[in-house]
Amino acid sequence: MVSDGPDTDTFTFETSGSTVEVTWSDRLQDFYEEFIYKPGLVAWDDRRTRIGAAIMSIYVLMGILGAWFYPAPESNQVERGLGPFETLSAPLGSTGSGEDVLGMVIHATPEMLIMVMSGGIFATGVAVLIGTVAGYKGGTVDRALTSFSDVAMSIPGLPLVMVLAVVFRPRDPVLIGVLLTINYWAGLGRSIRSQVLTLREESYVEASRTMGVSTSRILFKDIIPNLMPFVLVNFANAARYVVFASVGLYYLGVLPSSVDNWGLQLENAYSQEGALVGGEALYQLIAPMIAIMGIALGLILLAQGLDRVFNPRVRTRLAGESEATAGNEDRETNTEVNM
Amino acid sequence: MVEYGDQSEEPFDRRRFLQLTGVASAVAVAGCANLVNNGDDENESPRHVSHVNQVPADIQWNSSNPANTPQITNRALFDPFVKYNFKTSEFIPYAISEWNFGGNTFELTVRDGLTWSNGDDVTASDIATQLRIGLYTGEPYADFTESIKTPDDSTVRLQFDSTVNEQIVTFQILADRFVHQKESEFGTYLETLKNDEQKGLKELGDFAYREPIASGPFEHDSVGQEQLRLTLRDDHPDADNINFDEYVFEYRESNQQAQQALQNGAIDSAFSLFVQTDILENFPKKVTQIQTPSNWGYGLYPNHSDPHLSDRAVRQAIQYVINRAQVRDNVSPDSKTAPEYPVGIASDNQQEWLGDAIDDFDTYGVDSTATEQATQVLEEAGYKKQNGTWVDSDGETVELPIMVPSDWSDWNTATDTVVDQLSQFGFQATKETRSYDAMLGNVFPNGDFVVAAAGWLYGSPQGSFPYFSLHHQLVKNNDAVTYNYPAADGSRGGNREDVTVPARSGSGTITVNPAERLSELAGSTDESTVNEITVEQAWVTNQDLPMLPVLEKVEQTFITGGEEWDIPKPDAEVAQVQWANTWLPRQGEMQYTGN
Repeated sequence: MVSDGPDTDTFTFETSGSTVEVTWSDRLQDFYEEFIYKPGLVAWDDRRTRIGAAIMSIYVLMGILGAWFYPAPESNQVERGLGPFETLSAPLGSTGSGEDVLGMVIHATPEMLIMVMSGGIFATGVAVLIGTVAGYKGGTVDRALTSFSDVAMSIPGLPLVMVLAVVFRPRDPVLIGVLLTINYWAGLGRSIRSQVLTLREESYVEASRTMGVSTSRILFKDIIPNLMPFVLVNFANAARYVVFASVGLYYLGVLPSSVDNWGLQLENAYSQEGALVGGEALYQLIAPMIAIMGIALGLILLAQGLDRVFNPRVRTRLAGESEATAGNEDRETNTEVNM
Repeated sequence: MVEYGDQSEEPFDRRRFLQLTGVASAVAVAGCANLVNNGDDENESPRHVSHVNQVPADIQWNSSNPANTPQITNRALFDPFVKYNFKTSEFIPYAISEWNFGGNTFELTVRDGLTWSNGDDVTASDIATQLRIGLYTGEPYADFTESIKTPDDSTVRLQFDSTVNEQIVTFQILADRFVHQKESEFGTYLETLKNDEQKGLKELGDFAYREPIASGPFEHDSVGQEQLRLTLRDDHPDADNINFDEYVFEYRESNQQAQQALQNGAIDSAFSLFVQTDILENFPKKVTQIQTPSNWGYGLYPNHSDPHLSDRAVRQAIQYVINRAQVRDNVSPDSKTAPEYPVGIASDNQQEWLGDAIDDFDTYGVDSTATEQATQVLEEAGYKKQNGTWVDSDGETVELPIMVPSDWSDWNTATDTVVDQLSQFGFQATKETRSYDAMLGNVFPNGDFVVAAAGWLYGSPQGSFPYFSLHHQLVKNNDAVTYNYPAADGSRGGNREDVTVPARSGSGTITVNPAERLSELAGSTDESTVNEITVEQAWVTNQDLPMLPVLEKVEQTFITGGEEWDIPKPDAEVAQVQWANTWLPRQGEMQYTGN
């Protein structure tokens, strides 16, 4: 394991008589091997990752190309109350106001994805920052940050989000994503802190510390990279939480209705179209439900697939470095799923 | 003078019905959904189950306390002074059996035999008490009433300080008023009001009337979070017309829940429930829809302090752009109408009151998006289109966030369509939602909006007489919205200023003061003066657009008939009274058949 000094492009690490010179390209190569290729190989070997990634690609395409090319929904763009598969101008039918249901699903996607990304990044980012600093520094810093996490964790999430949403009425999907995960990071932060408590005792961290490497460098170069798989798994879970929370709050009418969202589409189908009375407009409920279920499924599969990366034995074997785990091929580890 | 209409008819004898049907029929109907088990003795009695969208336990029946006042349950518990029939356009006497107008007096006679549920007679003194309380709480008749006296036990006489219009007095004193503030319960508040008005208003406004003494055919029995149970009073004059013992109101929070309850037979009736056409088609055949005019509907209140909406050109452009017929069709063509002329008069009465002058009025395109006219009027006012968006001479974009009650589904559909129409034209329009309670509590009184969706007409039955809706648009709307129209009352953010609009015929302009002119109308008994002012002020609303009319509502009341309930046809004269599910039982026209 290597670590570099602050003022040099190369670093020499002496061990029992041998000298190894590591260049930037070597280090990039190492980084690629260690943190992208091998985890990717391990993850890709799991069919859940492949399916999850494929599903998410569909949403990304829908959010970028679909929203670009497919006409935006607006009232009276097609005939009112069309059923699904009646006409190509509105393949999934239209609302009582003549809005294309498929258009509504597609054009809600970009903002959903932005919301999901911002919520995921915020939740995992704050959790990593607080968890690693608390775990590594210990002492007063740890106590302060842990207490802060405890406070955040003890505030009931949904009521807090509802109050903030009503007061600030955010329109920007980035802000909405952040708002929805306003205290979601706390639990994750505590888990990361526990991970860091073990990592900080590792010999290479110890070595860096002995050599006087700064705390920030140790955190960013020695500790956080080792947490990445765990963080990625939780990123996917946080993203799924944002999908459900946003849909729920739009459905309840807590978030402003000027932003396209599948939850809003569900609410419209229920309250304006009476989709649950008589069943005539049920298809208007089903379309956004499929979109929500699809993205949730994609994120769950991705999270479960990435979870394998976290299992060092499976990872090592699949990366071609050891045969020791033969026979455990079918073993799967699952992330806890919080619906 | 008006006669008490239904007394000549032979009333249905409830006791005779029970004798005829006997215990055997009670057993026979035991399987019906709406029978109630009254306890250990397993006696079962017929009941009518209706819908209420307020948590029953929260309702209080003091109308002078603005919190949690009832929306329908009061109509079973208390007798109305009179009822208005929309088919005949006449008042039907009820708790007030006669009334006499004398120019500057108005005399009411209390119906003979009317009692409270505690056994006391309903006296003129009870009626006078609540009318006197109204003098302090700002009832409209307080503006011209000098005194209220009770010459005898059954007569109440109001003395006015000047001559007033008979129609206005009749609507203001009789319509939508109930016998509900018994002197023994409310007299103490009246005494306090006389001695210290502020203290009296505070005490009265805080009083939650939880166990009301009823004057109507049903009395308060029990209440919970989900259900209010009323039981029949044998000593009510119309009790013999009613052959079921209980009237139950069950809580359904949303329109959709009430629709589902009607569809699966969990409730027997629902008042003023919006039901879309396709849902209506799926209702069981036994569910009858009774439609009555509402003289009310979805309109837009521009905030006249907004830099753009204070410009008449922008208001006119918006009115031109909105395709009202398209909005109506998107919401529900069966329960909404598109007003032909955007004026402060309900559609049904526009032709009658405007007469030949109606051709001078601008329709602003009832079934089209009149983009050419909108463009012309905006460009003349110095607006121009920049990158597809309308901006003013300073380059400021015309932003139109339209605030709508989140819990009113039909209004949300209407707003979505309006937003699309305005956006396509180049206005930066968006929809904003708030709960109706929030709109009433903060948004309306504080004028905290750019455009707010609210009722542009006064509402039934007063909305049948143009004065009320013109007054509502121009001077003092009854939603208490601070919309900052300069001609409006100070309580609505105005200064009762003059308005200058183009002359109705020919060139030039006219300048009038709506507050003064409508006050003149209210004090006039001369028909031609009333007509002249009505046309003139309607013209002001049509040209200056203090509010933007979009839709009119047709009230939908639903009653389950079939084999369980014998009800009249929806267009029967007796059914054209609001709300049929509380009026028909009194008339013996909603009978439980027990099949």
